[in-house]
Amino acid sequence: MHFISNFTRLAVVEVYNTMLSLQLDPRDLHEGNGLPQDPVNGVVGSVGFAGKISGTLYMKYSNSLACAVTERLIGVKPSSTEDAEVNDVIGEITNMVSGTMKGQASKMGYHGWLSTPVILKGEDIYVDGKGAPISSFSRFHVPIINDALDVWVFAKLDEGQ
Amino acid sequence: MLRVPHMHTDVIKSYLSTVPRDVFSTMLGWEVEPKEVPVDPACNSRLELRGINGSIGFGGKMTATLFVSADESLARRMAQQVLGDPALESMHEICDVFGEITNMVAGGCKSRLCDNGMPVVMSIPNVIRGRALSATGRDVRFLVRVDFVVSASREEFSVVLFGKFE
Repeated sequence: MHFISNFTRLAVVEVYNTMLSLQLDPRDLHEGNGLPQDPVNGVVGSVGFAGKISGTLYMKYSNSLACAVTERLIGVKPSSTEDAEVNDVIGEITNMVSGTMKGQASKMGYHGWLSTPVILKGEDIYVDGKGAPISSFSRFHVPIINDALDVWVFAKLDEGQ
Repeated sequence: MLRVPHMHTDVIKSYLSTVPRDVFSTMLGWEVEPKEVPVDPACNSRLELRGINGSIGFGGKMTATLFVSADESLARRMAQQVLGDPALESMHEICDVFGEITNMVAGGCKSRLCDNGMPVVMSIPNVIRGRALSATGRDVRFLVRVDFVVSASREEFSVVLFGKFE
């Protein structure tokens, strides 16, 4: 497992445990070419990062999972994913996971800056990492809510001085 | 309400208006012209996206995300033009070309920003496809959008940059 994949998986588990008191169960891991690409009808949180480590992290939620996670964090059930609170929660979780992963990478000398958290919504959402040198997919089982969370990372490392 | 020094958004808009014209001219031999986009007084950071979107993040003195957004039909014609294959239908290659065009647009903007005292770094391009797509940025202090028309075909695409200055 590439260390970026490992840092990402650990970051997801840590953030969900800390912020939502949910112990995610990491299941599938795929790296390299041919990553699972089931289209998503729902919400995708994304954050880019640039510097010695460059890339983007995507966290894909079904509509029901996005609402359930939002309710768990803020204590109020959103009426739909169109509620602003869903953007806030999904964006914040994605930002924290990316920041945690990037922080671990920084300890190895791969420093970078985070870009703007972006929340995507729609139907049949596909994300193409365009052949990034580091491509990783992880699926987590979300207990209590009993749904799946998919996380993609597409990245490259600048090995120069 | 977004609050950004007027000078910054004017400068960003000038980059977004000129860089894509250069890229499309160089890479495709196409003339594209910017259209006036009505300013949304609510300064909403939600974007309605088209079917295929190249996306790149920026960090440093500016934290932002750039989108190049087009219908799949235009993206297909772009790939056919760049690769010289009028029968090309492979979505993999269409995404490759669209991502590369996005990379060049972002790179042109980055160069101008760095040359003008705003050092930034870029992430790597991704391509996002879907239906009824929208994108909402968090902690967005400016949003600049320029719509373009391909002169020969009248097809349209958009270039958007949103984020904040550090």
